Amino acid sequence: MNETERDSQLSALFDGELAADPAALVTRRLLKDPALRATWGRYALIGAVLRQEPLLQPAGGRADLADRVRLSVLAEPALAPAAQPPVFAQPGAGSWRRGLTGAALAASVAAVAVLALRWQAPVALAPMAAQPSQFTTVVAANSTPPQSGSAQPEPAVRTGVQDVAHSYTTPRQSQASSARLPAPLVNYVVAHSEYASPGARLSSLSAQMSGSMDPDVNTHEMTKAEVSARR
Amino acid sequence: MSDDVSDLVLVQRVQAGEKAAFDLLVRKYQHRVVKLVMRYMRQPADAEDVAQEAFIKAYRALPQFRGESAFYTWLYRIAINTAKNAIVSRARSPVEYDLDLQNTEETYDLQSRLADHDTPEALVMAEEIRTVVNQAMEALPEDLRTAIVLRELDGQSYEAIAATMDCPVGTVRSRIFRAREAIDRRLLQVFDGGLGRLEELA
Amino acid sequence: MPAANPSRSCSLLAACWAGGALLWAACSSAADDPRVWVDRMNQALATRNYDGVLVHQLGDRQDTLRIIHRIQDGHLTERLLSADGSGREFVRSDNELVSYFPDRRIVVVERRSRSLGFIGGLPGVDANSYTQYDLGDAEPAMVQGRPTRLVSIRPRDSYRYGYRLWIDEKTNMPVQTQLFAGDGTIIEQNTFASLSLPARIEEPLLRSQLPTDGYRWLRREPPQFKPGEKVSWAAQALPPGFRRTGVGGGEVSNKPVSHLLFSDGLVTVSVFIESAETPPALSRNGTPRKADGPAQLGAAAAFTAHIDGYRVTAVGEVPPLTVRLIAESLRPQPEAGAASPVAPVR
Repeated sequence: MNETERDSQLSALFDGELAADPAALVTRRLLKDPALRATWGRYALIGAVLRQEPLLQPAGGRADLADRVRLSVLAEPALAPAAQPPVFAQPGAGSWRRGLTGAALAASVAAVAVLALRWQAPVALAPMAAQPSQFTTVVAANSTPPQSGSAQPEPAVRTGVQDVAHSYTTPRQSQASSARLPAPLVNYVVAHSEYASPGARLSSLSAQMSGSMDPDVNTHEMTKAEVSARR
Repeated sequence: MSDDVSDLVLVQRVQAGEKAAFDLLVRKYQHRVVKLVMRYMRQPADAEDVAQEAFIKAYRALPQFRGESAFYTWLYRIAINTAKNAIVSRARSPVEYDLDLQNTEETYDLQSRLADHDTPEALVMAEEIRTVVNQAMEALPEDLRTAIVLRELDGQSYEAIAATMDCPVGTVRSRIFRAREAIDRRLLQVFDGGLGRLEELA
Repeated sequence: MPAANPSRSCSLLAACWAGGALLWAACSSAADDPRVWVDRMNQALATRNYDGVLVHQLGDRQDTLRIIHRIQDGHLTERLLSADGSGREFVRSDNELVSYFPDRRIVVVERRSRSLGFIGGLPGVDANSYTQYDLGDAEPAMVQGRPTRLVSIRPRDSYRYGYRLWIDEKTNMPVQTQLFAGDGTIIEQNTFASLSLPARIEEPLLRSQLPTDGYRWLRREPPQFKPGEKVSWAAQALPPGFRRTGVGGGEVSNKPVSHLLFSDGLVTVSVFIESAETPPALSRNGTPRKADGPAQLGAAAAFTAHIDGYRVTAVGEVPPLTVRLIAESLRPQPEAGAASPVAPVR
């Protein structure tokens, strides 16, 4: 299906004028594709302008209404034992900040943050890339598959399309921190974080979120009994 | 309104545990809900807070939604009730801070403090969007403009629009899509590279 | 807290009450005393329930996180959700940190040595801080239309970073914080987009709702560092203001490691020392692992030096030069006798 046909279906879906079967198909695609979701958001915006509804305005330091609802809902229990985990973004579509063309940028939290912070006194953050030449180039310690006999999530995440794990996007590291730290150093940073200054504990977690600090899979597997005891 | 089908598909996905589908419903209806709630609240920021609460209530109540009415009709009722309750509870307990009480419940949203002085940039941007959309509308061929107006302003179904415009339903579908596409293209051009900002408003 | 600095004769508001009328004049500035405000902020962070949306900005990266923090019956429970599509979540209950990586279908459970929230306070701001930092009065400032006090803690040299804290006048919560370098560049910024301080936070809100069926559950045992362990290393020349504040020994990946702490009172730098003979010098796929020299992770700088057959790694939220100077200044002490300079775990 070409892009126009796809968007035309999206437009019909938006109006509830698509038959059940194609509607289910387009919905699935919509849930996976950030570019389509962004288009969906703009269709809603066009309607809002025509009906003279208030355009929801981003303001300093805050997430917009939809993002606030999303974060609230994230913390809620799923309404059903999910047959498949919630879909956030299409795997392989790149992270939410890069990898897509500008025009295809997803309805992203990044956009919120940019706006939010721009509203403040202009902030010139030191790009960590300011000292790139000093950075150690390190071999991605986690790039080898885990040796454990159990599930090997990594290859699945990268290749399989049907796998439910795909529903989540492994965050791509920002360019500046593209060097993944070797496991010992990560362990040191974790150990140090107990003594870190304010915000720094958060920043080491943020690094884990960004993928520049992946979970160390070379650790002890928990037994089934241990796991079920936790639930 | 003929939004039932697509909304129902999304609702069913949320009911099946897929939270991201709810986000699409929120993005589709947030402007409408805020406008609705603004009948009760003067401040846009208060209206947004109430809208947020209404959406979360709707999410929690969604297992009980069986599709007897359209999703928006159902959401509409929740939003109205939430707004009424908010007025009552705000009248009862004006926002007050008491630092001496350990268990005082305080809730604030920094955004609501912005009510009095929406940022100039946000205002400019909203204005720009309105201008661009309206200009793009003006530039549309008559039949495309009529189709999208009948759809978005009058909320008519494709079938009703087909009757009005005396053309097949497939043509209506194509006209509405072409109208949206043309407006969308203008939006993208104007905010080239800044789509993130634009999307943010959506 | 003793009133050590004559120019600021009361370090705590409480001291004023105790001090009585004679001190009144000196205390009249307490309303602007940055130490009083920082203390209030630490207090609020340690005792209040809060639930907020936080915009965390570091380098070229921005994250929006929801943070739910509960203190109940002396127990800390916290949940951190990312909104970046990875679905990653972190739940902390006192000493235990559980990290969920749904994108990789992994859950990591680890025990930490201290029970600390994701957002730390800034303990250690006292009279001594004035030696290395310039503390201005807590100035009234508006953050997004809300009255706050801005506490600026500026570094007097380039060996450390400064802090800006916007402390909410009503709730004492830090609605915005910045970590910045001596030249004014901002390293890291946290801004609360919304924040509520509920009297109660219900249990389900603090539990991850991710379906973890089929996930790998891993247990990470981070090094258990014992304070007071005898370690025979000494620093030759530390950056100004830094002194050794703690010593411990522990184990990382089954290897004995010494842990030293250096602090200027506000910021702490960790130094880890392990025997350099210890593998892995190669990563598992056989490529040499070049982990030495400088590295950066988040706001933390790290530097690894090889000294007398040991690998010495310094880590801290300080400029890269500072960790380098600290790492390179360390030497094993000869009087340690026959014992290995790296403390074994007992």
